[in-house]
Amino acid sequence: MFGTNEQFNLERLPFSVYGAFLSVYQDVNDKKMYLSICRGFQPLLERPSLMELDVFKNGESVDFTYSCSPSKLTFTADDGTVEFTYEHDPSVMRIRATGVTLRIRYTPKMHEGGCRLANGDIELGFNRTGKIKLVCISGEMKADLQWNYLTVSPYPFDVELIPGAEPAEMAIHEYVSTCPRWDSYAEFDMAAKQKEKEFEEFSENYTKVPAAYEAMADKAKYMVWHSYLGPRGFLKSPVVYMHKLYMNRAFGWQQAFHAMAMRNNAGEAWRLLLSFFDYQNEIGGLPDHISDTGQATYITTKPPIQGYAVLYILNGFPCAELSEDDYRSMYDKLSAYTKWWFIHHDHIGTGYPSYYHPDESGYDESSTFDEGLPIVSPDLLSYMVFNCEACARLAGLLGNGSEAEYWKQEGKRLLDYMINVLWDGEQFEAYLPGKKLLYKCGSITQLLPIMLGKRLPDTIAARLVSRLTDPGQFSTDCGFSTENLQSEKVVMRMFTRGATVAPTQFFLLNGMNDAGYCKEAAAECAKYLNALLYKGLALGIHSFRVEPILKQTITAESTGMSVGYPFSSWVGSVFLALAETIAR
Amino acid sequence: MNTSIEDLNLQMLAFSKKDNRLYLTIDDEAQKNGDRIYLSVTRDDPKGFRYNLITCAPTYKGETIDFTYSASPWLLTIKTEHGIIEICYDSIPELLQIRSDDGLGICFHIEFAPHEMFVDRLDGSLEIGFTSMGQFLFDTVSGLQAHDNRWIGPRMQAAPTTIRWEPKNGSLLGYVYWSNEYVTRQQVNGFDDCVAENRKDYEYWLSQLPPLPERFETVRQIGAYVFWISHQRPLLVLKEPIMYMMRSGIIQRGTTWQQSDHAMACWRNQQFVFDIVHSFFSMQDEYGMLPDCANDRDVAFTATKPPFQGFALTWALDHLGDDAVDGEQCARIYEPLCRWVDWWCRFRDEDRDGLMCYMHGDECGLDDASIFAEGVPVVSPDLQAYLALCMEVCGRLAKILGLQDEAEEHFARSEELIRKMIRRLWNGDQFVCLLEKSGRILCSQSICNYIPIILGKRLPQEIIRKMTADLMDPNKFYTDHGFRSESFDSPLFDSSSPGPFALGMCMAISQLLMTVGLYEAGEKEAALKNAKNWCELSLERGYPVTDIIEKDQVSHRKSNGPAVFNAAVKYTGKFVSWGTPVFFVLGEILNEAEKEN
Repeated sequence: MFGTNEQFNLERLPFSVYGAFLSVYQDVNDKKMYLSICRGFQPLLERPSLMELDVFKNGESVDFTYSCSPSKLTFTADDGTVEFTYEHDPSVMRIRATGVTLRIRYTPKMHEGGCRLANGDIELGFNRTGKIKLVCISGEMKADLQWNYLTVSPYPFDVELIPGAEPAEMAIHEYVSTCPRWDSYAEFDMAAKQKEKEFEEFSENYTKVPAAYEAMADKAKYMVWHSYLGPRGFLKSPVVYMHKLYMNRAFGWQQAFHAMAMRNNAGEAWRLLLSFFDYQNEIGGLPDHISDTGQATYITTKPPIQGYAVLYILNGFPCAELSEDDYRSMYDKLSAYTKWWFIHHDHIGTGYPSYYHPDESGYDESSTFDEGLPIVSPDLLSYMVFNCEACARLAGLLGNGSEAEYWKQEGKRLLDYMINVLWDGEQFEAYLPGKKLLYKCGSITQLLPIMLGKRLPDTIAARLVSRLTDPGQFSTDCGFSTENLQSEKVVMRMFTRGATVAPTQFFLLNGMNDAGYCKEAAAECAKYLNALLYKGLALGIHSFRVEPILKQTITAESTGMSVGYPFSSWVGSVFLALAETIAR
Repeated sequence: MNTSIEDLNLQMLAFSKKDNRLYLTIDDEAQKNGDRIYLSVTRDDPKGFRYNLITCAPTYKGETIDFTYSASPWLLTIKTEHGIIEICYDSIPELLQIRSDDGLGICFHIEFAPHEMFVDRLDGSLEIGFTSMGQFLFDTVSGLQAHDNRWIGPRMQAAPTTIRWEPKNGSLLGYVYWSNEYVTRQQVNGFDDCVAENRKDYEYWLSQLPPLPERFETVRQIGAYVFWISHQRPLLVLKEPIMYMMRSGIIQRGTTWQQSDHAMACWRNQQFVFDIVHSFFSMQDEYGMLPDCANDRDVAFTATKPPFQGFALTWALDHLGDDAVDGEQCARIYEPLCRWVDWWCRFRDEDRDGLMCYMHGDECGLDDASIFAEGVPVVSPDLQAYLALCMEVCGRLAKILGLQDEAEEHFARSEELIRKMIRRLWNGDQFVCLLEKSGRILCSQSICNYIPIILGKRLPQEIIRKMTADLMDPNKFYTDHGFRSESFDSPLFDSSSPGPFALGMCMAISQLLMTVGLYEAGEKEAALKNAKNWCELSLERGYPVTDIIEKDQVSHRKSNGPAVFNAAVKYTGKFVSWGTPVFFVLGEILNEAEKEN
């Protein structure tokens, strides 16, 4: 699936499995392979390249290629292989070296731990990252571990897994505090087969996609599957991280996209959608992101798209397995969250919630915010229309007519405001309550209300679609740009000032489809999905070599071939959701 | 330098209160623009601590003006030529009130990192959020609030911002409120009522700490203030209150063994003793391991800390009397303490010889002690002594709980461990260490080898005598400012600064262990001499000392190693609380002796 001689390699994502904090990946700067622990106190992992992995024969480093499937990673040298998989318990990585030696190299920081026990096991501790225990199952495990009392840590050291005539095997346990020794381990190939089976079962959460997209769909499923973590530490239930190494967090709104892609499993979709409400505070707010170490920041949230996702699931998935308890649980939490936006993001009681910070929109550096905050933005109001509608629908399912009516009226009120006040004939403007001004800009956020689909008057939908599909404005070879290409503020290398990003495509395409513009949606969808086929599942993509306004040459960032981040589970789910529906 | 409890030095100490993470410091040493007032939060940010998160200054008619200040635990007064500004903490947690009736204003300046937040809520309140540092609300009750904030879109960053509070009709009252999660407008309590309440609370905790000889009263009061502001309420991963090592700087966290020091100082308050010893047991893992240290965002299990609880609870129980100890408190501690002992026996005795080992320098607490000079794992006599006392305390608690059989087992286990320790680790002249794997003896000259003095009269008299002689020898451990952490005649001795932590420096924790140990062993003259030396050092400095950097810095080592703690980083509020409980315990020993005389 990924490898040295494959279209995409492990610079873009790590080799890992569902629930595992341990992973292996290739550092894009030095091209070496590293063992990594997916745990940090900042969204960008502080030390993704933790322990260097290399292959040796007769004391010399040898060249090797690698390839991986969802269940196994193999380094292949001329004289042998080193294979990686996981035990049924994903906290334990398994390694088998045949014919060649695996060398693991590490330079500790002060106060890190490293000790060889009497039974030969090696315990290592990393600041703020956790601990691992290396256990030799067969063959020889050599280590030159020496304690440096002045740095209160081991000297830089190597650990070698050395086979003899038979392969050598090792287990690496990942843990936080104490790790008792296991009595036995699974047979290596059986362990790999178990992981393969688990991935195949997970893949059944999704429906078929057109043949042209099948190969990338498998990669997308793998990206999502292996990005699952929890319950562990602060994580109360399994959630999907954006990426195990680069955006080492589960983001609130991204769980909704993952849910919306799981067309074959409404139960898991619903559970995933509810997962972030485990962290809802007493006044109804949700965090921006979460990890097993807690939340790095409570200062913002993410857009309230859960209502959109509820309706998407109820309208499009087989929902027989959802029960009244499921509806009740969602209604209680979603209605509290929706009220939170009305109350705590509108302190002067205008009746229309504002963004208080750009990160709350997901469009962090967008031109939407160039005139300041707070801002009543049309994308936010669109999400809130869906939230109100979802609350009404859920209240109805629970037999609560009066609350259903309340929410229906609230949604209508927001929609009327958007159409009657914010629509200027070309796009939906934003409103700045502090300056009492309407604000128009080139950001896609002011055309995102197309997501409202058939709720919009035909004339509005038609104008929006016309502008979106105009290659001089928003339509590019790779999908919709996030800033009008004629805008003086467009910067293609920025995610939300020009590049094409996954969530935007999802809402625009589904909106166009719902408004009756199915052919146009399918055509634009094909552009985006086809672009991902050769660019990979990267968050921000575009096909420009030179900035349209600044005229600067755009160079790829060090993260790989694409501008922006490596593969992302988020993009994976958007790919799957679009390929399952609009593309078909 | 502090002169009294009503003249606190806020360059060194934080102006704060018990169970509040908000704090103010004042940079007396600022080179430009005179003194600066810093408002911040005791929060460990992995990117570096932000003691100067928000810079404040008094204003008059909109212009910043010079000031001096005076501070007590209950009130900070900013003094200018035009009048004063008073600052106190509300009874609402994490809320600071600021008032002036002299026509003065105050401005707050903030430099933001990308993705941080400033929003004018348009209802008169301003919400500010910092990555990892939580959220602030600025609000005026009477007065005018203005700001110059703007957002820089492509940088995803708020521009440097100044918030100005100006008086209305000569009066200003405003508040700053902090929360980890979300901030809402607050109804502040009466300013003077808050001041009175804070004073009362401080004085209550002062009364819970031991009386000391009269000459130490000023330092005692300052020590009580440090104790008071080090106590932090539960938040996020902290489920129970703990004592923090520092309010600002590099150790904004509590360490496991440090909680026990404070329990020894405050033994008069039985609830506090058991609460604070239990605090880290609330983070115990399923196998019994305790973390090294913790704050509200991070529980660190890379290593652990020595099982100090037995030593501390022995002191507390001896002073309280077993009959006076509450059964419920015992029950809270008993089971987790037993599991803690069992963890050491199960996971730190690889060769199953009944002697436990350290696998990391931090587990000893004297991180870079010379007992680790030849590697880990190492069997060290201090660890056996700590564990023996833990086992004995388990026995005492079991007895209080009526679990006689279990009590006997614990006592027997303790005695057996002491016998084994003497048999294997006493070489006739001193205690030694062993490398766990090879059994090779290490003749380290670390003070760790003398920590077994904490066993007091449980040790044979001959051992006590020899250890005392070494401790009181100026060519080895004795100085007139405390015992060294490494013998002066050791080839590894190094008291350079910045430099190693436990290769020569005289540290408060060593004084606590040695002084209490000598006293309990009957070597009262030696104990009292050191207690007097250390307490008078604190008197000379004006505050309880945590460690002493000597003028004559000596290194016998062949090569220099890196500093364990970097002393060169500049920041305000860098007072370390660790020396405070030591001052109280040693001062109490001294006080009892002086009263008898």
